[in-house]
Amino acid sequence: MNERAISFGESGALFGIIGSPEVPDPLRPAVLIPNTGVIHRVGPSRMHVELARALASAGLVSLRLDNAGLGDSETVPGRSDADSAPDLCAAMDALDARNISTGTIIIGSHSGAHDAHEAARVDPRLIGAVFLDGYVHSTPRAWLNRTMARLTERSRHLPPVPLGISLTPKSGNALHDVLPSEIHYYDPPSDERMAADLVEFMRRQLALLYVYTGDVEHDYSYAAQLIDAFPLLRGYRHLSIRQIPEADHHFLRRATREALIDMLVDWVLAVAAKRQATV
Amino acid sequence: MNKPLYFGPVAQPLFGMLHRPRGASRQTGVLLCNSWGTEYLRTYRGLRELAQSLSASGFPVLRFDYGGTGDSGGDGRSSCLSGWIDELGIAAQALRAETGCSELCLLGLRFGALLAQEAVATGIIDAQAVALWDSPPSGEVFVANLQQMDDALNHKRSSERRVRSQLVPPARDELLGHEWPDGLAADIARLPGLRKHLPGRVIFVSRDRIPPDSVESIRLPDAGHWSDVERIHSPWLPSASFRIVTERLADGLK
Repeated sequence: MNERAISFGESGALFGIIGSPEVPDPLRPAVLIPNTGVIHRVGPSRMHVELARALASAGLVSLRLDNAGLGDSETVPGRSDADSAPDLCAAMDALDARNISTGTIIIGSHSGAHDAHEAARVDPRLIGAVFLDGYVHSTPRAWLNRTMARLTERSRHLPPVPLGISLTPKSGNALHDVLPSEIHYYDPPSDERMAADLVEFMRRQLALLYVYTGDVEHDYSYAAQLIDAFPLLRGYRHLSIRQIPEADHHFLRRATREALIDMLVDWVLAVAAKRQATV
Repeated sequence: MNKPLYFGPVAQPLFGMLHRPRGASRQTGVLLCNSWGTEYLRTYRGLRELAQSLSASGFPVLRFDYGGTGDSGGDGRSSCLSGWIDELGIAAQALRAETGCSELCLLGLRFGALLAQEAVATGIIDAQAVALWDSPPSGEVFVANLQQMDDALNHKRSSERRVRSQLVPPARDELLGHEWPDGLAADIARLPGLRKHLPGRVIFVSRDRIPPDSVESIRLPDAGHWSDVERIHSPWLPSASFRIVTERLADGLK
């Protein structure tokens, strides 16, 4: 396995680490791993490093990157932190320039799931996307489950749904310690926009994997909630949904982290095999 | 100008980022020694900002990830304290080789401060100055603090989750979501308390953790909130403190 640091994007302002097997197969897709929240490219509990190394062992190239303003990437003046799609497109350009892969799969966790969705909207080079604790859209059944949970587990309070974090305080641009109350959460897309995006994803035959942990169980309470919220997904054969109630969104426990990585590697290999079979 | 580096053992290289001054370089190179686990994660960007600030004042600066952590090679389950202290020596050699600096200042944050003073006390590194930023009073206190944070975090997560979706229990050799191999806690707990006398200058850097009889100190306006479980994933970016530390080191080092 090889790891090498690269600078890419405009003026080389972005930074990332390419992980690859000794001899990469240029016909297989690469895997893009954006930041989780404000944590730099190694990921929570070093999960992105472990995932990239597992992918390399399975023969796949990956790029763990720092979005602008995070980790070792420069800040892009005047750009919203929520607008990470240009960074991910630049990352795909960097992979393309090296001729070590064909097509890209993105795996985004937490705010990275938002990034993955935004990248999938704008860049047709993506052939698959994984959303770990991504957007949650409610349904009548989810509302009922939530209400019942409030009544039966009244000692337990509901956690916030974390979707994305910005290092830039709302009050201004000066760097300082970021207090929890200053962290900016992305807004999920409206139902209408999400439906429109999914139509486009399906038209492009994008492979989709949605994973929900116990951290969002109050809001995402049953496996088919996504399909109930967006019935157009019913029967879409490139869709998978998994719930992992015993895990948290950072996959702090090694047991859940290792199981997740195994599942992701298997899913990516399956997507890659299907793609190669159809080309 | 930043330059990523891989150095040290070929099989398990260490990853570092070198910050070179744009103009004339000072004789003193600064080796940043980061902390462990969640503190490493929440201070990563902050230490980059500090490195940029120091290099803008003419210091060549190297920050790097200990073996089995971050972007460095190796698995955290095989990490050991003596290995990390040795790696400080390897990083110091890399900094000297890359920049030609003739003098060295170790700037250690939290756990990194304990490692830095140990590397100097044991002669692994010959440094003209050691700056100890919010150093725990001893390894034992640092370990106890981590374990209290782990308990608090587990309790918080447990109280927030439904009965049927409790987190799986942590393995014995993980702490705060990071590898915590057998023996590491005991080794860290054996690290001695703050050393006021080492070869070279000792500079205590803190808002409220400066020993009363210290010879040199830099008093900061910002607290680190290292024991606050609510901030365990919040970025540490005390820019006013970065400015003060940069100015003081620029005044006092070649």
